[in-house]
Amino acid sequence: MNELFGVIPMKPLALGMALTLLVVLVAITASALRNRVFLKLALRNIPRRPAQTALIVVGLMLSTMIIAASLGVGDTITNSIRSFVVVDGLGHTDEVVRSPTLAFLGDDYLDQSDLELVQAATDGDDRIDGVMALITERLPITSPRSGRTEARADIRGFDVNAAGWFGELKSTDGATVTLRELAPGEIYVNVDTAKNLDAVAGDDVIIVTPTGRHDFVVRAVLERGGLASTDPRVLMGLPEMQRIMDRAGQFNRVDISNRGGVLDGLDLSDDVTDDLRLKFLRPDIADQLFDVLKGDEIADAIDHRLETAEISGGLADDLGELAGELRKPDRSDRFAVLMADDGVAVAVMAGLEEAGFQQQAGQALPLVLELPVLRVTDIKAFLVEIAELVGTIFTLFFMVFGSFSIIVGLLLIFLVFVMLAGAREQEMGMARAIGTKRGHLVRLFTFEGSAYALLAGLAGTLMGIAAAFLLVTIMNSIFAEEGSAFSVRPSISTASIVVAFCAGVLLTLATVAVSAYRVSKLTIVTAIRGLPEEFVRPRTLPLSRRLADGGWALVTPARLVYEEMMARGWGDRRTINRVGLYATAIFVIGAPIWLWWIVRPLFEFLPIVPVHRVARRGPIRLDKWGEPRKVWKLIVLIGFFWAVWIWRIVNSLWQLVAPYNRFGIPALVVGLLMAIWGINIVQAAPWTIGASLFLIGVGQAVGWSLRRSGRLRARASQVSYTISAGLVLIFWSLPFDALNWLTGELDSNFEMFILSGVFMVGSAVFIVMNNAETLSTIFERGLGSFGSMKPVIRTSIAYPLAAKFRTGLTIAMFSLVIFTLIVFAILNSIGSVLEEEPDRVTGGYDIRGTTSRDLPITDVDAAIAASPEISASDFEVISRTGQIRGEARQNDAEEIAFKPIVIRGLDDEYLQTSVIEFTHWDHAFGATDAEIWDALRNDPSLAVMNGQVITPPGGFAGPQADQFKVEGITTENEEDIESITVQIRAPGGRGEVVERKIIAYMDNLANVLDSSGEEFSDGNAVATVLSAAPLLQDVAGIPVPFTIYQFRLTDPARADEIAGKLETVFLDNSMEADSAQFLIKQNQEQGDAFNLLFQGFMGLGLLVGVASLGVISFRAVVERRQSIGMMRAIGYKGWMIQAGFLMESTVIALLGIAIGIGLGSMISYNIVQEIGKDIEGLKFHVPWMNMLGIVGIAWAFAMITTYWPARQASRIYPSEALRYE
Amino acid sequence: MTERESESHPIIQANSIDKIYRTASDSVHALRGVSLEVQKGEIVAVMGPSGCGKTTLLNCLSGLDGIDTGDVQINGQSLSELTDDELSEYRARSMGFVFQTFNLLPVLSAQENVELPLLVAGVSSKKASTTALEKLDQVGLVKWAHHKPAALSGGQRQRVAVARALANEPAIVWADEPTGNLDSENEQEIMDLITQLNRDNAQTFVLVTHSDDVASTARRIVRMRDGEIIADEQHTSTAG
Ligand SMILES: Nc1ncnc2c1ncn2[C@@H]1O[C@H](COP(=O)(O)OP(=O)(O)O)[C@@H](O)[C@H]1O
Ligand SMILES: [Mg+2]
Repeated sequence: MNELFGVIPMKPLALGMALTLLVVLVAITASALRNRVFLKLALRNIPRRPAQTALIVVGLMLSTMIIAASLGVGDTITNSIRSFVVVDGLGHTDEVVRSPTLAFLGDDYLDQSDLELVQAATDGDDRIDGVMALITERLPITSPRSGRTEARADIRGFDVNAAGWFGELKSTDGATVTLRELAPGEIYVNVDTAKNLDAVAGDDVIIVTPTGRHDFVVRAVLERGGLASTDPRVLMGLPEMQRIMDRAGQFNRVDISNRGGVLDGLDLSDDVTDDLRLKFLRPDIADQLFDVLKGDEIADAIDHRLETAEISGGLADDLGELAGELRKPDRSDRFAVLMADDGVAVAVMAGLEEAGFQQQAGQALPLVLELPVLRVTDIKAFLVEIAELVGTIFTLFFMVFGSFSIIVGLLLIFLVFVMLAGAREQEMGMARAIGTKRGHLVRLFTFEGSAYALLAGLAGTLMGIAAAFLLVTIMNSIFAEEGSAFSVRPSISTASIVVAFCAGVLLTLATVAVSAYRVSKLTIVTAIRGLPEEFVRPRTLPLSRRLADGGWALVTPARLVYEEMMARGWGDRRTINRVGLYATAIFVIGAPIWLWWIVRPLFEFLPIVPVHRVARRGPIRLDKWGEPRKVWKLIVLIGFFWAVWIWRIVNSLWQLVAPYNRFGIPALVVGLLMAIWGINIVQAAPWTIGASLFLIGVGQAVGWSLRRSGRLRARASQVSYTISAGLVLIFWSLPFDALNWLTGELDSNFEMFILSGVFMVGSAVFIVMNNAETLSTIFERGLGSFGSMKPVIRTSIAYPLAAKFRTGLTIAMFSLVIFTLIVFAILNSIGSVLEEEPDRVTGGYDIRGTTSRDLPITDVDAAIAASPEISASDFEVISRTGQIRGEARQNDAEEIAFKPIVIRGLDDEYLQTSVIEFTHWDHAFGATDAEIWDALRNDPSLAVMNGQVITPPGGFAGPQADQFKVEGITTENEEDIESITVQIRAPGGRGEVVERKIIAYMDNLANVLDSSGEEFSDGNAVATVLSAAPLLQDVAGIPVPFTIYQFRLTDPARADEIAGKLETVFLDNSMEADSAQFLIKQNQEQGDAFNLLFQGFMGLGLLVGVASLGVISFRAVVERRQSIGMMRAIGYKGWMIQAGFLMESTVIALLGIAIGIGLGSMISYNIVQEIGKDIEGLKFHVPWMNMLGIVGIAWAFAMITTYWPARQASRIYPSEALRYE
Repeated sequence: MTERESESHPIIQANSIDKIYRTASDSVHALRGVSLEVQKGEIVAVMGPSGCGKTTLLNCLSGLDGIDTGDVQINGQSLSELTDDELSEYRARSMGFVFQTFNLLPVLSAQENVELPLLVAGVSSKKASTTALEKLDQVGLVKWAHHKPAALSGGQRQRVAVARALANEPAIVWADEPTGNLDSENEQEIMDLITQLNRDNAQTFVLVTHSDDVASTARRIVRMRDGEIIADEQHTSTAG
């Protein structure tokens, strides 16, 4: 994985973090060396209590562990896919050369002259060490002996003379073999083909091609890898392949291998590809194209599209470069090469259409099509990028959902240090009393904390890597199909290790700093008497003093220089004064410039997790953050020096406004501004944060007025806190669109999930802890009647409620984790709608079979009648569908660019029998689903589309710029809608533009299974137009065969059996058939498996919550030794003490669990309501068993960690404990 | 004399008990063959230099700590025959403790602290609540019933501790330097309280103290040195 979240390059990030950590550590070390006594004192504590040290390290390491685990999962997945797809799947092939013609528009074979062109272009090029012509086709192969078939084997014929450059072939018996050895009529198969066919060396097999059936003998079975690939493959010599395909002297691909090993070739790929593209294009056409496009206008249009269409990565770079080339007076080679790239060409054409350059678009299109003589794809680089992308998405997913655990882990770090400070408090108070300086205490504490931070960072990184490897191994065993070649190869990059370690240590050190700050505020009196901090009123300085402090903070750097020089006695007074003056001047002038410089990229960076971009950007390269300049800004931004400065400024700002905080003014003002800002930039995150802040301010204001009026004086803060938290909780519990009338539709994403969790849980815990007394009375009443448990219950409620801070934190930890688990469990159970109403997905068909376009079925009924295995009476309905890619745009819409779609042509049978439902339709064409289908059958100019083309108003499905969406109709619309007209054409604007009237939109569930076993496996979000069969030929210009066959059976129970038989009967058509039930089940099982895996990952978070209970309990045993002795003295039995501790943990854990479940269900309910707008019949449904399991496990873990300290407590010997001072 | 003795056998009876603390490096012979009898209703003051074994004696007699040799009987029941749970039960029903450092539970209010031993002894919540208020009244702290210990002065805290020790009207009250952390005024208050309670309820008090004033309140003073009892004086003069 090269980029974190797909935007932040890992290596510079690692470097930056390492440098930052280094600076911080050097600063701490320097300070330590100057204060060796304190260093010794601090380090003395560490080995003295190994158990406590271990516990602290465990507590501190969990955040690091989760970060490391997320990165490790991403790296492992990237690496596994890379080795699977690239090393084994591609072997030495770096680039491939193909015909520029798309398959369905005609012949895509090349001939000898093309090969000569390639050879001329590569001859003498020392970057290239192999050029090989080949034919590759997906065809059926069968073994008569075993009766088994492989419907879509990758059958390849290689130029045997060149094949030697593309790696060795190894047979399963260990021998090295070559393609040259093959006699006519002989082939090699790889292990996957052999397994599927149940074939061994020497077997006779039959390969089916458009020219008929051909007999071959398997000479040997080959191990996977390189030319023998990782999917079912058959290898033979090129002449044999040409013979069976009837393609004498022809081939359809030329593979090029770059110098060096399998992965080394990547480095040369960009250059080689560009050079070859330049050589394989027509210069005269390039000149003409340049004449059409050149000039600032179109360059500006491209720049504009770059900004608006959310294009990023390599494509964005290329387009930017192209715009630059267009502004030049003459055509450069670079221009031609860029235009020869499919992605760039498509984006330019779209940009032209969008900007209204219709005429230029019309002129450019044929030129673009004619530009390349041969199409060059840097296939290896492309696949490596996909691997990166998948790894990135996994990391992102785990990081987003793990972020709760990371937050919880940070809370735990804080908790640990608060308790550590507590443990040292008296000691420190004494030290202060006998005259130790405050700074010394802070240092003492910082040294000890830093030592723990380093230890924990190390342990956390190692444990995280271990956890990642464990997770992916489990994942592998869940997802891996039997005998699949794909295997997980655990790996983690140095950059990831460094990032995880540094992030962990830096975060921990930051917490140390905060805790140390608290320690420094400790007054002698509070420390010694153990008073709560509220007893110490902070002094409020006069406004003039606060303003002056703010001014000082602004010139911090100058002041530091000044003070340091004074302290060291560098130069006389005058020099120092002058240097100080200059430094101040520089910083006073420089600060605003620097701030601007710093703040701007920060804003670019603000939507920290641009998930939508990552998910949608496709296989493209570095984002803007790839520029090292900006990365350095980031490094500087988080640099130590500047951090101090920013801290001072922020602190003095806070001091400045703190007195007004009593009235709630800062929260009201900042909240309001932020909310308005959010609405202005159409982002939900700032709006919700701002609104929450504002509501907190409202609570504070109420508290202030209560205090002033003298009413409820004693409870004013309690009331005001409760109001603040209550308002925030209500705000976040509202349905997502409740405030749309005020804000309009705002963009939102995963970050909203994190925010809502944090705010909801935070406010709920706040409410609970603020009203703890009331709650404890209720508890006691409820539990009071348990006889001898009474005193136990009393203390085990009183203790956690007395330590509000740590109890609140722990409850929050539990709630956050349970919250996520519940949301995920509930959302996963949504899938069960498929099982309840399968017809909505299957259309009422029992089997779905797909065939190859090159081997179409000519007459289904005849073939069935002729087969001995199945008979016509087995089938009630056989429907046929054809499918091609295309582009579409809506007539008279704002968006004028054509967007990619899938086009389906349906036969009459389908139109008469489908029970797929519509959510919206034009009632002018019919009142029922069946009538709409019928309308389509009677009028080929009508069509329907899938439900995903209608956008929901806001909510969880964000707008997606590169997908076709209907304008003027939203999911909120009534069922009865107006028809619209769309223009449809072939990809890349080839062929005629055809119009269809869209009269209805299908149920969103209708295409859930489309990705299984079909050509266009883009998932279910791709816009699809469905119409009667003629649409296909109208768009393609040539006849398009049916490739999807859906069968309704007389006996649905036989679906699996008949699906198997269909594959045999239609072997010559390369049919793959599955029962619809099987597909549904598979779909659900994958969801369940992923849910399980995810819950395992979240279990790490649970571990954090549990660890904090452990930390608290262990600490409690130490803190309460004397009290325990006393309790034993007044007659508590050993088990009562133990029960008390377990009960305390139960109270905390159950409170947390209850809040988590309550809020998790609430937000899930809202989510389901929101999704329910898209998918009819979706019901909110609580998976009780799953939920009970979660609760049980969480509680059991809590008990297990508390058991040990509880037992220790019960064994405290009263006489000893009482002696303890 | 003999008649009285036969009527009521001693409530506390220790026969040549030895207590040795063993640590990794060495062992401390904290009690060496101590024998002691205490009659019901007595106030016994244990005095001696620091480290002579007073606390150890108290812990061993009350069953908070085990002994190495010898035998301790309370009301004729040998402690060594009781299990840990039975000992706890026994403490809950018939013993009260007052410690030098008060040892109130900081998270409970004064009243709840006093209720605690009652609840442990199985008294109903309602009864515990009224009894606790009664006891707090006896020590003059009803007004502070709902305050947490942190909000009370040292003398007040110790009075709460006394109220707690007396809550379930134990036969024996053990007090280890109950006034050690108090000034003389507070000390006098606590001692007056103890004598009064002793007179009213005929409870037995064993208290360790350094203060002669405190000791003078007791009718009997046991003096210790190096783990042995070196003197056992009866003061009839102050009685009555
Ligand atoms: N747990 C223990 N381990 C070792 N020695 C102890 C322990 N408790 C008390 N001692 C020792 O036993 C002796 C008697 O202690 P203690 O009864 O507390 O004396 P006092 O209460 O008279 O001041 C002392 O020398 C003390 O150091
Ligand atoms: Mg003592």
